[in-house]
Amino acid sequence: MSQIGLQMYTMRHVSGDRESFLNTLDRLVEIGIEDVQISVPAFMTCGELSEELRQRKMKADSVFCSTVRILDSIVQIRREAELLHTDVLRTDSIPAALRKDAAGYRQFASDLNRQGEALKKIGLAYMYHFHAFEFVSFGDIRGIDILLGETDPELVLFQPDVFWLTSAGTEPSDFLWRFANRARYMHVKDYAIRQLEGAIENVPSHFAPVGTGNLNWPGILKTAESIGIERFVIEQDIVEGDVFAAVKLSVDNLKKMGLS
Amino acid sequence: MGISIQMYTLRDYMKTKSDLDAALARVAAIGYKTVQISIPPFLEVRDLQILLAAHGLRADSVMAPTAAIPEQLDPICQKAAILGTDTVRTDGIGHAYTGSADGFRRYAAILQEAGQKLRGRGLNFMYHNHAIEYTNFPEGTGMSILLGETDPDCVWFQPDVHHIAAAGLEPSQALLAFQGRCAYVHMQGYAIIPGEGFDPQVPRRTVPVGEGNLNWPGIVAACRQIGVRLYVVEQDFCIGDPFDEITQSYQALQKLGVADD
Repeated sequence: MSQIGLQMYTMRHVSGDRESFLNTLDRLVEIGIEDVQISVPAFMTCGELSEELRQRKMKADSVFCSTVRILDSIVQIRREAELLHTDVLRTDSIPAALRKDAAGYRQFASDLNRQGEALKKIGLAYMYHFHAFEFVSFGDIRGIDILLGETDPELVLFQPDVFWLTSAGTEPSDFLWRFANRARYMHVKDYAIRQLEGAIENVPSHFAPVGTGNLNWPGILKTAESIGIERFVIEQDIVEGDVFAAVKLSVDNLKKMGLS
Repeated sequence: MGISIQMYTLRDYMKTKSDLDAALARVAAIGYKTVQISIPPFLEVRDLQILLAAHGLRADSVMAPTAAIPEQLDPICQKAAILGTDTVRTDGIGHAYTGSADGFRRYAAILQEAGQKLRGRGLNFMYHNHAIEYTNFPEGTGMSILLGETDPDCVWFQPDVHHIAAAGLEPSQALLAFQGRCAYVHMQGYAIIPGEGFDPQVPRRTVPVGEGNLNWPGIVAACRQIGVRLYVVEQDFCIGDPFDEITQSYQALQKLGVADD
């Protein structure tokens, strides 16, 4: 097992049909990617995906199911997890309707607990992947505080993303401590800025390969190790230029930082 | 140690002499003893000093555009003497220099010349950076060039914790690069407002000190470590009444252990 993985969302523009998808897997193997975070493509069954990964000695790190479908899909989830040989289920974001206030986040935390309980019964860990909007403040509490405080650590894990932690204004090397023993995987991509015309304050952020932007990687990796992160999953939501080169750069830089 | 207020925060309340007079009265009533202010177009520097003194306030620095410094040493020294300050602050880098590592190198040379000349007159010189200086080049960020190619004795910096975070760095860690050459720091919070979907451009906004998602205890600890003497509240945009928000910032700084001696 490698400490470095890849969220296949990064490759969506080179994986639109069966042929390009398989070609992409071949090229990722060459780059050194073995562990992928992937949803079953529309043009393939879960069994076929499992076989294609097996032939390449690749492995899926989790299965995916939307929060709202989990309780009605337990049989299918169990079957997909068996086919993909994983014990983790990852899910999508809090529904937009529940993001508006603290009560919505409390409702969602309670939903996560119930879903996590059902998944635990079939031997699966349940992992929520947050972005930045969970850091909006409702008076003196934020969405993320509610999710961390009101979900059961035995039932709900998190998959932190260092870019979004930074976008929110937190310091990832510090804030990651909040996920001690509650996170196995972490999303990694760098945070760079670009210049626009006009006021010099006008500097939007953009996604960049790991090690090419401004994130505090030594501090981040130190905390990640301390809190028990097993895998660093490269996810670069938007790539300018060749996506394979960008992934390779992230892999190479993570290895230079000491990951294997 | 002390607390100051960058009057840009109150720019909509100081467009005439009487408005400025009223704004300074409110600033002093909050507890501020020090302000960071540019000489308004409707006042001579002497009149500004009289106005500040009338409210028991003092200016923490005098403002001078970088490019003009070498030719205007005498007037700058006079203004500093009248305001009773030993520190000159300057404007931001222009787009002419921010596009390449070489541009930052050229700007570093300009800062160096200005800083050296001011040092010769016994004045401190500080450059106020935002996020743009953290643009990434193969050689490093623009900021690493400005820091590396200027003399720590002649060129100081006045970083802004909100803008450091906006550039993707961790302020409590990034501030350490300014060790010994950062007497003043701009303090404003960083919060986000709900955006649509997963756009990386999460709308961020400036909020009072103590609010939002910045690591305040870590930031103040880093400021102490690098020798910050003055914490300057600057809030680029206020949602509520700016006087309420700068009151909140003043009190939050005190709660964080920053004394205003």
